[in-house]
Amino acid sequence: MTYALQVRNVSHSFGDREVLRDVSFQAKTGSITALLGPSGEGKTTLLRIIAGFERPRQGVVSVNDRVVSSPDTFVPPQHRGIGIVTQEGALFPHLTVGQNIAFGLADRRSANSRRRVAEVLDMVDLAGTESHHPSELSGGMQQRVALARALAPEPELVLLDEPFSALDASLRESVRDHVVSVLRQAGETVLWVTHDQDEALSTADDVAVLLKGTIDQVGPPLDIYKHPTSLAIATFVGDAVVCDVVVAANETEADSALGILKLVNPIRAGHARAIIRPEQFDVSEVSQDGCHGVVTQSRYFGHDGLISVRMATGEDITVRLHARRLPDVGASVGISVHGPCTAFTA
Amino acid sequence: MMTTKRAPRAQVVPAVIVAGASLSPIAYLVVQSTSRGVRPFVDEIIQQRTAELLTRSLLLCASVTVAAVIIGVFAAWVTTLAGLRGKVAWTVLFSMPLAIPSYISAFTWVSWMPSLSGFAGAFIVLTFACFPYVMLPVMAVFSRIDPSHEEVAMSLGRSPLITFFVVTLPQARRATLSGALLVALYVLGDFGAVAVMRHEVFTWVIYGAYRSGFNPTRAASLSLVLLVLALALTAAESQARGKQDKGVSPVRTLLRSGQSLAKVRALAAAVSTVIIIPSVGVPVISVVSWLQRESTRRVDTSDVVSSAMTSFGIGVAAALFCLLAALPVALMSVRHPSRLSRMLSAATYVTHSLPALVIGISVVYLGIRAVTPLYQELPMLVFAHVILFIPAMVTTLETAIEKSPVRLEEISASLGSSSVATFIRVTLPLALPGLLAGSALTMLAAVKELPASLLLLPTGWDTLSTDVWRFAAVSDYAAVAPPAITIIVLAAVPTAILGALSSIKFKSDS
Amino acid sequence: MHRTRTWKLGLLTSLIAAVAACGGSTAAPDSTATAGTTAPSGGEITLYSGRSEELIADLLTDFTATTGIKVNARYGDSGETAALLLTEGSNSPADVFLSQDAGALGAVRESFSTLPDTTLDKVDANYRDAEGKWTGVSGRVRVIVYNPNVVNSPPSSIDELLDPKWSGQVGFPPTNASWQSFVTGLRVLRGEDGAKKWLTAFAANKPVAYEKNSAVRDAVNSGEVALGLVNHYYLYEKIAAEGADAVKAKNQYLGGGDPGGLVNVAGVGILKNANNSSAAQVFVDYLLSTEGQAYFSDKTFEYLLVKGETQAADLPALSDLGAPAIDLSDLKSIEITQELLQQVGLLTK
Repeated sequence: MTYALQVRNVSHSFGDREVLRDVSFQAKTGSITALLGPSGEGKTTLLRIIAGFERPRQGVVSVNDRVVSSPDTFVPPQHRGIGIVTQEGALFPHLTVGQNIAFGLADRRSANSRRRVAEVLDMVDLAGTESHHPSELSGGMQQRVALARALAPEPELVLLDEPFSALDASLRESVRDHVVSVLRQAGETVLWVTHDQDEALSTADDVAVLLKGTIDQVGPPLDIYKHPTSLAIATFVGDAVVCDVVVAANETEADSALGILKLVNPIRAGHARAIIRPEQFDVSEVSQDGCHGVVTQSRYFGHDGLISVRMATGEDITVRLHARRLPDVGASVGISVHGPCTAFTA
Repeated sequence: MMTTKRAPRAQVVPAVIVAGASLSPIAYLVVQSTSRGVRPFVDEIIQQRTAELLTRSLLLCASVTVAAVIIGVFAAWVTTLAGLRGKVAWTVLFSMPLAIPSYISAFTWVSWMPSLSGFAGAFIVLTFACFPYVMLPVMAVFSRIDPSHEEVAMSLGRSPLITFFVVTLPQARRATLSGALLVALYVLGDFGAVAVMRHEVFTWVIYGAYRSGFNPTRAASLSLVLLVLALALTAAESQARGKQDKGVSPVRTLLRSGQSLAKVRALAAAVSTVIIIPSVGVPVISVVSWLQRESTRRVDTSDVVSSAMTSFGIGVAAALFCLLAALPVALMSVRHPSRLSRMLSAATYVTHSLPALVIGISVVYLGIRAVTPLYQELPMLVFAHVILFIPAMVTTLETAIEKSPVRLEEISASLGSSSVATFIRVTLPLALPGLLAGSALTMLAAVKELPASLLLLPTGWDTLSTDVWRFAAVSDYAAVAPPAITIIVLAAVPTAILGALSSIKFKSDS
Repeated sequence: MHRTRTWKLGLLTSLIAAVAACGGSTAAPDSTATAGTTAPSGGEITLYSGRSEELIADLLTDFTATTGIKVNARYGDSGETAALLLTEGSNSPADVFLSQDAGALGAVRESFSTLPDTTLDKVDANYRDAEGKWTGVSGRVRVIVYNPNVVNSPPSSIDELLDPKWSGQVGFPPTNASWQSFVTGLRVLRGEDGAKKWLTAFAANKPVAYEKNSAVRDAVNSGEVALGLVNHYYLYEKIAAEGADAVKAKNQYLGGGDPGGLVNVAGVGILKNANNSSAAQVFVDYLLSTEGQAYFSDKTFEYLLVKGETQAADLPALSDLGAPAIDLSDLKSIEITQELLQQVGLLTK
């Protein structure tokens, strides 16, 4: 396994405010890694450090085993060979589409360069738009041109900084799918900054979760979802009900308001907190020995729905159900949990 | 997120030199005013007559500013929201006063109404000369205002007139204030109009102390008072303006129905005409009519041509060097904001409020002592012009450089361009329109400029403005006409283009 | 002169081109003053002239033709030029200062070198500096110009002007330097209070303000006003231009030391730090020579100040005028005069 991007022990601060704290992770060559985290917790700063727009206070960044940033070396952005696509596209407004894409090519007026421009435009399905001005294009088209511009000089790494968040919801998905397929076809190594979990979970090969200035877990989306390494990651990635439990002496079961829960990994006996995903809940008729509650809210999404239930013990939980089985608001329902849960020592 | 990189030395060193040079007139003033010690300086200032002078100056300043704001806001409304036909033409006409130096329009008023003088004369000339400084920024806001605000107000039962005052106008508050500040500073620093109208305000008294009192110490002391006054006005404006521009929504596609009542449109056109007659009509018609007058001298075309060439050459040099001097300061303040860069930018701005006459005198004083061989040579005049016009240039450049977001420069770097290449390929082309407009305005200002030219022109040289002054001083208006017309025409072309462009630009933006 | 200008503008343009090309920054020096042009054999002087180009250029041309000395003339108003000299200090490029008015000469007298006796002796001691720092070259007398069709017996003193019968009948040029010199003379002769008293009464008699002396003269000539306060030569200018028959107005000279009959002079001094003081001395002597004096007499109708030169126009002799005795250097306090005029409402309305 080779890694196109390696980040080791990077820390950074603006004035007194620490933004990144000892961040380490790597991105596999030819894969798409999502850098997922809430807004304002350092994602963009990390991206800017990788691109070379910012010099970190500490740590090492290597691209294809070449150190581009360390306490002793600093390769300026123009010599890193890293392509970047930003939120708003940032096309040069004074240049045509063709000139924008050719911007990073060595000999911009050569036939080679014209060929390359046509080639990448074709990749993003915008063939023949060379002479247009950015202002004549829709937002989605501008983003594709921005991608083509980043790809044209055949970068070693492509950075996407929330590239679709400025687009309308209706447009976002189709542009995203298109971009992803282009990137996969080109075999690019991609680091994709996003705060949108659905986007990250559904498209990335790996997800790196950046919380409070540091990365605690990197892995395939399913791993992150199923086996979060901290309560914070668990609640940030995907919906979850957190409930207080008491872990039994056998360390594999826990007692909760929702009955006995099986644990994915054994943890020390005693007080702990378990997370239950909405799809783990089963709703049934109220039974005497089971847990039950009253439906307080019901949201319908077509294929499935979410209901909120106030338990007899006073807790509120969210349950994901198939659309056919949504109970009415006010109905009393029995609740049970299937499958094991992840718990963390309190 | 702002980059925290420190400014490169290649920017800091020239910026510090430029800021130091811009402050040199103040150094002169301090040295000169305290040349006999601090006590005489204080005595010179703390006098009954200084208080009277202050009152007179502030009165003129306040009345012209208020009148210019009223006319300027009205003109901005006419050229954007009133739904009049020929918006571009109206904008061009309303911008024209910028092309007419205040001393020329003052001469035209005096030749037309010899009894006009003092406060009334200065008030009329300055008001009609200055209102475009309010009109232009307010126009920019009016043309971007979201009509839905007005529609909401009207749906809530407000009349269109009330809606204008409670909804539309408040959104242009900052633009109006900054225009008003420009007018106030212009009035404080103007020499031409008050000299012709013989109105005893600061510049005229400073000139009197210098020219008739042979008392440079008094002239310098009063200049410092004027400087403090101007700085106070600037501070008051920025206080009043507040930190954030509220209300103006982002630019969206606005389709104005443009269906104000025919009666309103007719009234707007009539009032506009009433404004344009004194501000453009009187000066232009008078100057042209002077051609018919008897002259005591033979007006030689080749003299006018040679003066025009000198004016033009000096204007181009002033614009170019002003641009080069302003560039490091503006780049630093936009790209590397820090306490130092703010101080440097402010330093270039301080002298903005000093009359050209004072800057001319200080350049004479310092120049002849520091670089004797260059005294009364073109570079020294150009240097004075750079100090005079750098504030406007720095402001224009800062706006222009902001047009090119840091983001784009980073993208350019990520695509392999060095910082120099990025400047040439990205920053410069994006800043170019602002840069050219700034240079054109500086050139205009240098062509119109009078007092520093009188003091610093090489012996035996004339510019259009010194010709006008010389002939007007002996009331030979027939001889004044050709150079005056040439200045107005030279200045009118870029002014017209500027006016037309801003009108068209606002239209397409909206 | 024009060749120099083209040359310098060319230099400036190529400088701009050079700077634009290499992206350099601050101004490179222009080469020194007049090095590129050919200087005539007689050397050259820099003249700061308070007298305007049209009233002196012909004389300068004649001077250069006669002596071979080139004159670089910088024109300005006398007061401004004196102030400029004071600001420039000892580095001033000026060799000679020619002033319209004695007050401005008085202001810079410390910067002048003392003129040689051979020069000074040509001029009556009343019309030069007491210590020989400057000398007058031509004189002018304040008069009352009147229209005989309207006035039978014109006033013979400024105090008669205060008579209510002249209310609204006296023209004067409020911004003119000669009028202001007269007021300065009035202050010197009668003291501040005496001057203020006269001016207040004068203002109360509703005098009519005109833009300049010639306008006052024309108003008197046309009968618009009966009297006017001007210099003597404006009448002769008009006679020279239109012929004696066409001009009705006449000059009334005020004798007996009346302040209204002040004789002021245009004069000249050589700067201590002159680069070319010998050529400057040649220039001063030329102004006092027969040719130089003839120019002032024939072209500008002024009084000649050199003993023994004969006046062209039929002016009353200078020595017969009974002009007030005054040290002309005392006329330099013009700013105080202007403030006084402002106070009594005679400068602006």
